[in-house]
Amino acid sequence: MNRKILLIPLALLAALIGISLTLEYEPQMAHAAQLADDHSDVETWDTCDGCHQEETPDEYQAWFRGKHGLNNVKCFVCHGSVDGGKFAIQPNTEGCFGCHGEKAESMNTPFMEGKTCFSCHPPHQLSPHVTAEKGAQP
Amino acid sequence: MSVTRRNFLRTSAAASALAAIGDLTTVQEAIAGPAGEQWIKSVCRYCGTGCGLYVGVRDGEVFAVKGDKDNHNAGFLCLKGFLLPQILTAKDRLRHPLIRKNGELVRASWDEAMGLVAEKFSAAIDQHGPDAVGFYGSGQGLTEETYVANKLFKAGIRTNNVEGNPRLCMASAVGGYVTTYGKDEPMGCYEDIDHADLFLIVGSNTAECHPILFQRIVRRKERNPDVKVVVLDPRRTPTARIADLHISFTPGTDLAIINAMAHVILRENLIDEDFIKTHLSFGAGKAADKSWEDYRAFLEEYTPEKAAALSGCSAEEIVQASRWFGASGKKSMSMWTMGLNQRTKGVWANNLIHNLHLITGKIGEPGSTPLSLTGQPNACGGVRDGGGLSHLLPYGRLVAKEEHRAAIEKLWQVPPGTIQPKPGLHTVDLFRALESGDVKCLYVMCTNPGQSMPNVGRYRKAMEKSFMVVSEVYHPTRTTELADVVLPAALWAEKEGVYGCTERRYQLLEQAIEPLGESKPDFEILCDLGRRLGHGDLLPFQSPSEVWDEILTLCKDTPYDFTGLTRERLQREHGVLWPAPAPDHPGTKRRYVRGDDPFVPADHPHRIKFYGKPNGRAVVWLRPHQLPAEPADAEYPILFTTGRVIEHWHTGTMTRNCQELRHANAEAIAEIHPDDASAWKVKTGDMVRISSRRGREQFRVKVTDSSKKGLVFVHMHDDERLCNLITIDAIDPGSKQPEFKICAVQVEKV
Repeated sequence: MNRKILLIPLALLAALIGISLTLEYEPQMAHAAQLADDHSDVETWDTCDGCHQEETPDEYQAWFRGKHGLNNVKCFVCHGSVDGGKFAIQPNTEGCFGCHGEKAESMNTPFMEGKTCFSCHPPHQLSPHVTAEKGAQP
Repeated sequence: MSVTRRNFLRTSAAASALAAIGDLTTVQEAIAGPAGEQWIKSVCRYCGTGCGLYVGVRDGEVFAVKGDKDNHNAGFLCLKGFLLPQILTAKDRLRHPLIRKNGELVRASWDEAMGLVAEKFSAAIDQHGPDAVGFYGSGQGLTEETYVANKLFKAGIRTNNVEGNPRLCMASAVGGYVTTYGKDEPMGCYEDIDHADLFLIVGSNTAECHPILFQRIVRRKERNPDVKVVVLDPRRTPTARIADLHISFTPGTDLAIINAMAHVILRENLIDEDFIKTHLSFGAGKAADKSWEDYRAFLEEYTPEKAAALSGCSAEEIVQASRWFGASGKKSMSMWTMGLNQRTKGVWANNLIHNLHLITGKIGEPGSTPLSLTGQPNACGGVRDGGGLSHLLPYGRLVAKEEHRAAIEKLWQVPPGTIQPKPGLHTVDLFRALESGDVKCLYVMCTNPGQSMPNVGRYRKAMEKSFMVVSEVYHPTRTTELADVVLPAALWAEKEGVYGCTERRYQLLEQAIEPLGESKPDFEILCDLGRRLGHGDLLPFQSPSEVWDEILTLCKDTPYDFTGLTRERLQREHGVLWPAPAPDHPGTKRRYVRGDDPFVPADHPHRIKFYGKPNGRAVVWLRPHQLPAEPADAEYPILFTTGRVIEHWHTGTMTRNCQELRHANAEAIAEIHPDDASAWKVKTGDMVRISSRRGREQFRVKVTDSSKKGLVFVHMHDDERLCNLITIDAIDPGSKQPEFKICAVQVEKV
């Protein structure tokens, strides 16, 4: 038996052990109907933050002044589209793992039981310090 | 996107478990999930950053992507990259060939469509000669695709009318590198960002156009508070958020500013005299026949005060930027894109940036490098390096040079004299030849000139009247609507091939799923066309991998030499920077540098050798300030400029097919300064008509103080509001790149 054939079943076994340790988790999704209520008159030619600077200034500023705001990780990465029923006012953490995939493994620890990314990383602000912007205070 | 945390946990567990135990043959095998999911190693489809990612496949469909933490992007993707799965199943995907009958595009079989293409091309060639046809490709095509097209047209059909949209974006950067160093492509790499003390970002909205590189700059600055960022841009873009100094200026005056920076660097003795004596020569026009003294005299008139008066910035800003750039012991890195390249003096502007590095010796060391950022994922690897332009042959060879033609003819095993000695038509002239009727048939692959050409109204008419074949993923586009034949091309994860990004990094995109409907990879389509035109012997390839094997024979013994990048190695690694002339060569982070570049002898007496020039000396060029082709005047008093936003890309064919992006900044808006808005009595949400000497279009207004007084910005992604009806098709005389960035307009409320 060559090495490759031997390694594949071993690998699958290791992977299955990994799965057995994972937490069961179902994402929290907002209803599309709520979207219609909240955004029935939304002007989609502008960006989300174009309106939300004024509509939800605290949330906007928390995002804008955080690393995700500085790096242009915009609203729909977490909240989804304003049409089509995929919008979520309280998004799950799917969007996080696109970049922070390696952190998925740290979710598989007793400390993280019952927690999500947002338990430690406040929504919108997400990361505590931005220092690259001129005038920013660490 | 249907990625649950559970899915990620599962695949991450599998991947990490396997990473620990072995050297399996392919990455797909290594990370196959136990539930039949696979994660296929690939590269982002969008910009020239070339972010590595994995394509998640379940039940034959792509359900997610995730960043490749082992690639230069460290696992990060921008918001467009996140949404890549949607481009594959978009409602606009073309699933079968179309041909025009009685004015309408109707469904056809592949055989009928390709038969018609072959018939029309053959007739044009027979009646009018090979130069009656042309190819217009893309910096998004895979390297193997561009290679096959280039070989078919230049050695089979025997026309050099082979162009590509990199002519619209990178040609001036090429001109800058070639004239200054003798060879195309940057000498530095992304890792230089981690060592730089000063970033000079010129004509680049990096935050929106190259977000992952911007993030890396942010990281460097956050970890090292003394790092300075200077942004030269008329607009206060999101990039300027991290600027310690943002210099806004009147568009078209930046050559004066950069010369003034050199003036200050000389005046304050921030130069590296040893480097100048050892490594530099000086030139004006086309000849490197000037001296250091000539250069000093040339710069005398470019005082910061004079440049400031000309450009509208302050002399103090120029002085500060110069001092930071030239500071002793500090590393300086420059980056630029279309703000410099899309100019009638684009090559000169590039030369002037290189001058700053050369006279200070801030080049070829970690953190000190001039790095031109590329807009498309394979403009470098496929078109620039592969020679997919009308004056080029593969890997640094020129059509006009007999020895270069002979070398390629030998490698291609075609008779001497097969390749025509005269360069073909550059992009603007190619479309003008459609207009005049000199070119009868055009084959367009993976690009959208019906929207992206400058002064597009003129060239849309030309496209409409000629026989145009468009190989395209989506329909309708503003080009397919003008086509006579539309061929459904496979997209990104549906095919395999190589991309080469900004930093000379070559990476393999592996096929993850089958092509949608009847669509086919462009590689297959082009080979089919070659056979139908009687040139099947030139294209005997059964797979892109076989094409790559042939490509390796062409790069050998050139400064590009990447013969060490076998297909197997590309499958295994997360990108390698060429040159890499042997299988065990690690790749080259910094060209021209002893101990790093394999073409610099280990016993070379100096740390750097500019071997692209016969005398080993890079050239500092004396390039005077000149105005753009169409400055503002009494009749057209406002300047118009175009660019990107982060949510969209190029002509929007992909991003406008993503649900989240379709309603995010998708409409081209005219960004207007509050003072202008007040004068014109318009407010946000109003409509204005913007008119140039070439065309007009209406846009909704957004009043923002990030704009500059007297300047209107509109993004280029909207297929309904064509900014390019307004832009100018004046070109740089050297690079032939159009001046998209500057033209004069009138603005009126409607």
